[in-house]
Amino acid sequence: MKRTDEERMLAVGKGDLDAFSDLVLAYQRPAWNVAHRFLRDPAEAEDVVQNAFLKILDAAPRYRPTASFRTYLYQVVTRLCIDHTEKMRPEYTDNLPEVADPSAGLGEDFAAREEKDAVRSALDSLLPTQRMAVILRHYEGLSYTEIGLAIGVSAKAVEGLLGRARSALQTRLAPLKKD
Amino acid sequence: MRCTEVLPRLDAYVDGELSAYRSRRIAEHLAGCPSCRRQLESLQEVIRILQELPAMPVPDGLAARVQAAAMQKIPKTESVSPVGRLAEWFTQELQEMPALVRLAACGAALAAVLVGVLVGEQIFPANRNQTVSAAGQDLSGLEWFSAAPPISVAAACLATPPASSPAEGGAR
Repeated sequence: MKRTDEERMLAVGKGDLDAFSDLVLAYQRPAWNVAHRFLRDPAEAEDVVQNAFLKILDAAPRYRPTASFRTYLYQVVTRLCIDHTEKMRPEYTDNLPEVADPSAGLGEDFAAREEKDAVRSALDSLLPTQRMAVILRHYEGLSYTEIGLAIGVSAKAVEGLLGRARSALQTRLAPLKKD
Repeated sequence: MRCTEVLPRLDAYVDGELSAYRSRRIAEHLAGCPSCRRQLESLQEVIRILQELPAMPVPDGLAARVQAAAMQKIPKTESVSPVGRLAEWFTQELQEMPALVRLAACGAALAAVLVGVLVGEQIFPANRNQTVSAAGQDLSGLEWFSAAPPISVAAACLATPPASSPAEGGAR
């Protein structure tokens, strides 16, 4: 019978490494998506993903399924991303180094790539918690409550974070809006 | 509802985070308010632009690298004896118990060990370099003496079988 993620995690706590492998395979994509969208650097994003799963492995003997494993994973990845940013940044700047976008196809037209760059730049300009709230909402589909659990704030505070983030993004992305 | 009540909740409304009642009240206001409707459309447009941004594919081999790193972290448990594992399990369980229960558990564990030692002593008494005579008498302590000469009183004692019990009328 197929185990739930929470059952797998409890099994990891008892030393079941096959269960850990299953969890890594199932959740590497969302962990990567969040880390890469947030940090933008592939090497840093991979470090965060690896550290997240190692932390989960360390904590497995103490794991209690009070929330879904999915929420727990997002919590760990979010925390590592924000901590990483806090350690790395001297100050906020709009002048971020250009990171090559491997997802860009050779056939992609210039306008489409400009739009993508503008969106990424706009996201990068947000405060870390605002940026993470936007990523978790719009790319991972988390509810306000789940976002709050991941970031460590209330659902009401998430509403405020998203409101301020979107207001800032509306200003920066105004040139991209279709008439 | 007034515009000042609706605008701060537009994000939650768009995200489907409001109750059915409140969503309905906001929808009714939007139907009659072009200004708030323009704000809503602007918000929906930004969300559309954001959601069109594609994700970067997961790097090849990421899961394998994570698992390899995990294997390096796991301590080798093959050398841990069953007693060691039992002690490790007991310690872990103790940490989760309330203080009084923990005290009782430790006392019970110590009592179990003590009983085990005492019973073990009975079943497997310590080897005292026991010397037994031909008649089966315990000669412990006599090993320090040289063997009794053949015609000595000592030899005669050693050769004598053990006396029968008083109930059997050993003395006649």
